[in-house]
Amino acid sequence: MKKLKEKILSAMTRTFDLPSEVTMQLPRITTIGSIHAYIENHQGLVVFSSNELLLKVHQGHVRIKGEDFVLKTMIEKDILLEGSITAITYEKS
Amino acid sequence: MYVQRKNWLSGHITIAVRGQSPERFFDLCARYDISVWDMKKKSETEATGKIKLSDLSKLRVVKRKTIYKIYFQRREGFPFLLRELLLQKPLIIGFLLSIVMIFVLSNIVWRIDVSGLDEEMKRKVTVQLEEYGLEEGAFQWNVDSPATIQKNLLADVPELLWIGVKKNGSAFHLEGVEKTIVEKAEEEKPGHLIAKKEGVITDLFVEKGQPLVKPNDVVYEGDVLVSGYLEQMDEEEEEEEQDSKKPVAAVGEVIAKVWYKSELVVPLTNEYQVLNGVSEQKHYLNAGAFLLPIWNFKNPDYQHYQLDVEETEFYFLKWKLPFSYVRQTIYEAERKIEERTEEEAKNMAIEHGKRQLMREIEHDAEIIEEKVLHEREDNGKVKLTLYYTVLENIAKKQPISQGD
Repeated sequence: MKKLKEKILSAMTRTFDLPSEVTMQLPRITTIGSIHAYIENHQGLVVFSSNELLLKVHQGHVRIKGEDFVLKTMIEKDILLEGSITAITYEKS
Repeated sequence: MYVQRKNWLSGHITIAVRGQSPERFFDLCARYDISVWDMKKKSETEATGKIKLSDLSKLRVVKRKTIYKIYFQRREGFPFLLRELLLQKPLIIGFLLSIVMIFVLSNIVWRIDVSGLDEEMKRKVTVQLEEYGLEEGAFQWNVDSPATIQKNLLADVPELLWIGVKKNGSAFHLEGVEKTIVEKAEEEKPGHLIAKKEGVITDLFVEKGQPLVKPNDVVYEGDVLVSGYLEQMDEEEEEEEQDSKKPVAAVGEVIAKVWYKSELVVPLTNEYQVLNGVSEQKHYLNAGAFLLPIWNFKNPDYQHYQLDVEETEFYFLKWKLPFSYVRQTIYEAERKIEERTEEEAKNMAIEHGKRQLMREIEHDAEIIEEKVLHEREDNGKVKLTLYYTVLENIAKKQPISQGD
């Protein structure tokens, strides 16, 4: 059942040119300059401190570094980060 | 900013989480559908964030599954403000007190205006009103309705010809008209005296004018009794002198015998209700369409009764409140059936006929004879035909048109 669903999804992504972050559970990170970062579709918060945010994503982690971090909103799959961002790195695991 | 504003009404709490990597707790919160915002990490073991007041119960559930310690730091928003205000007892007492004050003051008579009367009468009316309990500063619910006051005033102050009582919010406006002795018109219009009824002249008292009838003359309605032209002359002479001789206003009394006939029917049995003095008072609160009894719930078992309803309205500022206080007084009545003999019925009819006649004829008229012309009894009724002979003034003024 699940396999069939995955197959259909990937087929639809290809044929209909759907956004891959929706169908393939990839995170979407939007940054506004270096002061805001909006992370959607993450899979959990691992580390948060005033200069670092580590999020679990599909097949790995995203690490955001910077200063004066504040999480402005946090709902199940979205995070709005505020602060001065210096680096966003993807770590494969 | 929007989120903050939105949550101000429902209220939000700043919580501090302590423990190893406290951000994990907020992550858990997010998974349990608790929205968290403004999260900050204070130190390695402490983080703060804000949650909605309504999510507090969910937070407790989440907390039980973890080993973190949670501290409530700041409470913000309307529910907390309200609670704080409610805890301020003097404020609440003051608020309630002011409502009560406004209610009481709204039901006080603030002003009584009396217009249309001179100072003396005004004083008289004011004193009388005070006797009824209507004065400035009195409670409106102790005051009778304007119609009752009007009636009472007219009865108790005989100098008043008319008085209008109007209630306008918390003020009473009275407008009176005083009885004034009307001075006779300085110059009366010239005129004749004519007969207003058919009759036989018995006496003539003529002050001014030329009498045209003498005692024992039969006159009909509209006949000229006393002429305004002083001298009844020959036709030609009259014409000649009409310019120089002006007609005067005839003044005088013409007493004549007038006959009246009246028919009366009196039933032999009479049914009527009398109040026997037993009464029962019921109190209601009238809210909208229905009456809510507030005192004396039982219904008196009177067979016949008479109902007296009195309603008192309440005001808040200028608005009439939708409820009022209603007092019902139920008087027990007794039905009485009276049987009369024929003789009694006849006497009653005669008495009644006389009273009726008195209303019709003038004050100083005199009934000199009364006769029963016809008497008949059928269907339990007595029918009488009465005949009266009355001495009365039948003179009536009729102005002479000067014809110019």
